[in-house]
Amino acid sequence: MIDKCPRCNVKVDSNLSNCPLCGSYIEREEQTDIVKDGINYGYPKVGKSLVVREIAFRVVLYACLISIGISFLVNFLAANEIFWAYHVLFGWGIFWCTIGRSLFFHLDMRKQIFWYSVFASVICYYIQTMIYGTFEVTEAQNWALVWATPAFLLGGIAVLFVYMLIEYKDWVRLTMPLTAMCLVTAIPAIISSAMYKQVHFMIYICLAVGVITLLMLMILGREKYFLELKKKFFL
Amino acid sequence: MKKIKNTEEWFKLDNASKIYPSSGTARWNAVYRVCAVMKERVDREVLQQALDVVIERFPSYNVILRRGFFWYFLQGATLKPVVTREKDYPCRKFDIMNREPLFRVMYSGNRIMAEFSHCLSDGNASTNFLNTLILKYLHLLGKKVDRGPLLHYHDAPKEEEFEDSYSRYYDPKGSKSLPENYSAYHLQGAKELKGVVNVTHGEVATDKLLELSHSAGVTLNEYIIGILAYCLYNKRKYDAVNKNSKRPISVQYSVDLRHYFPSSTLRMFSGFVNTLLKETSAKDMTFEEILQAMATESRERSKKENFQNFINSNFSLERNWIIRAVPLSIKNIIMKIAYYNQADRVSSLIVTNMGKMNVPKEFAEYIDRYELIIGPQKYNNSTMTISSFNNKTVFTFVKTIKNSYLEREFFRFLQEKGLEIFVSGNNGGRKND
Repeated sequence: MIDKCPRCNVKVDSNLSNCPLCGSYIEREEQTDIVKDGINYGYPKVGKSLVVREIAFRVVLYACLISIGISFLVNFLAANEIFWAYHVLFGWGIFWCTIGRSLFFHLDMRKQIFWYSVFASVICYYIQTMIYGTFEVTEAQNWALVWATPAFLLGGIAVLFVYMLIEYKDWVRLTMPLTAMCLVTAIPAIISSAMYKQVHFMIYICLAVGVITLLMLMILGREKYFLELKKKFFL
Repeated sequence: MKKIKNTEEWFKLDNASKIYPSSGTARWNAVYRVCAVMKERVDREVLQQALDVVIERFPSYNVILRRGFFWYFLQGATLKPVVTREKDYPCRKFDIMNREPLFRVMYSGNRIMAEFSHCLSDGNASTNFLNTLILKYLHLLGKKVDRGPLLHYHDAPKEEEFEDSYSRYYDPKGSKSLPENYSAYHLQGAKELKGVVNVTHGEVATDKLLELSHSAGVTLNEYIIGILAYCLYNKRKYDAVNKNSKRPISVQYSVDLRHYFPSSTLRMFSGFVNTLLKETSAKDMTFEEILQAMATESRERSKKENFQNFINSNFSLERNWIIRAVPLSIKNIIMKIAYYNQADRVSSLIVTNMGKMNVPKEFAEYIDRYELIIGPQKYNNSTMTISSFNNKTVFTFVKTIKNSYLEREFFRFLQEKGLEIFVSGNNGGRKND
């Protein structure tokens, strides 16, 4: 039995409690079967996970925007200039680039490893700059450049390598993050050589590990590696 | 037959598909669904067996989208596709970042459905896939069905099915189409949460609908576009006066270019026509006036030379060395603007007419109707599709707003003309408990 909408006068599928056109409640005299001519036109009930995730995303986004706005306002009203509010802005920026991305956009594992390593390094530079007020400190005090950055990048390469060994069948997927990681390692080396006219041994180690890993991939699986490069750079 | 597993095959996106991954966001990409409502409940195991065979016939579909330095490209997926039960809103975005294949086959109750990314194919080609899948499914169930005009699952894939037909018909010396330079009126309303899609199907008898359109002296497509423009015109009349309500009404419909340029590609080969309602007088226009205006505009714009110009202008952009050499990250920004300017901004509503299904006559015994769902657009709130089979025409409205004005007025109009309508849908996913 298919009931008609009292307002629109159209036949309404018995899966629906309301008319999709006007929203009127369809009063059914008896318990109707959910099929018409033996065919079920109904859609499955959708789980709430999508809605919950969307609400969570909005809550975090609004919290982010409101806290940035309030901190800038309070900072300006209290001191007539803005200085610490930038830290709130930067903190949220880091959050969205690392945890936020993986929470809401479900990044691939290898991409997460890469981004966590890079942004952990960036945070180290930032904290150091905050402590000393300037980036130009002596090499002995420059722990972000000398220890933390290479350690995070080296850690990243090591985790990627372990991940590669566990899922070795799909190892070619890791060649590009490793190439990128190797290039990223070159940045502190360039900074170090530009500012202190020397490169610290930790960065040498980090760069060497990256380059050796890359060379291994290029030699052991050169066909796949260069095919991957060809795909990536086709014009 | 080509082996799918562990393939390292890769190929470029075709010309028209290039814009979709670039204009997509982390939460949106162009997805559509072709669906057949069977007369009996679907058997998942049999459907999976059918898919395992049929996917070998369509190797260009089991692919993932990858990001290069200059362009996106497609690469063969390493895993075989799995039939899943539908448990989400229609046209959920593909998880491109985690290398989800750009098509999925699902079932639910009596429905067999396949969702595709527009990067892969268009409605016509993917309907071929769905029909071949159903053909194999019915054969596995022991039904005697002739292949008719369908692609058979035992045939080997042909080289021409992989071609980018836009490149074949590109004429470097030919004239190019000019970009549209207006903003169209858009339906407004309270938005649903992101990811929530409201679907409403309305089923009418095809013969009666054809009678109506022929008595008005226009084709069915023109008649539908006329009704939609009329509904939008009436809505705009009573909207609060603002920038949007002063904009012109334009209905965009997609065109299968294979009708104009012979091609057997299974990849994207479609164009579109923007039918702009030219309001000649200051007085209120009647339905007949709007219908004639839209029909005339539609005929003028759907000439072969217009589509040739469309192909020329699109392909010349792709061949431009400056554009080619720009890194993908910058291209993405340009493409996003281009998509907004040429697709969503210039159309009030996007309509896709699948037309009458060209399937073996035995299908009528097992299939009740076909449905086509175009996923929500990036900026436009509503889309509408038409599919006809076995004297049943199904209109499907998809929207991301709560307001049901358009479908309500559309079906009321048809009802006033004496047509009987049967509506179904997901009711915004809120099923009666």
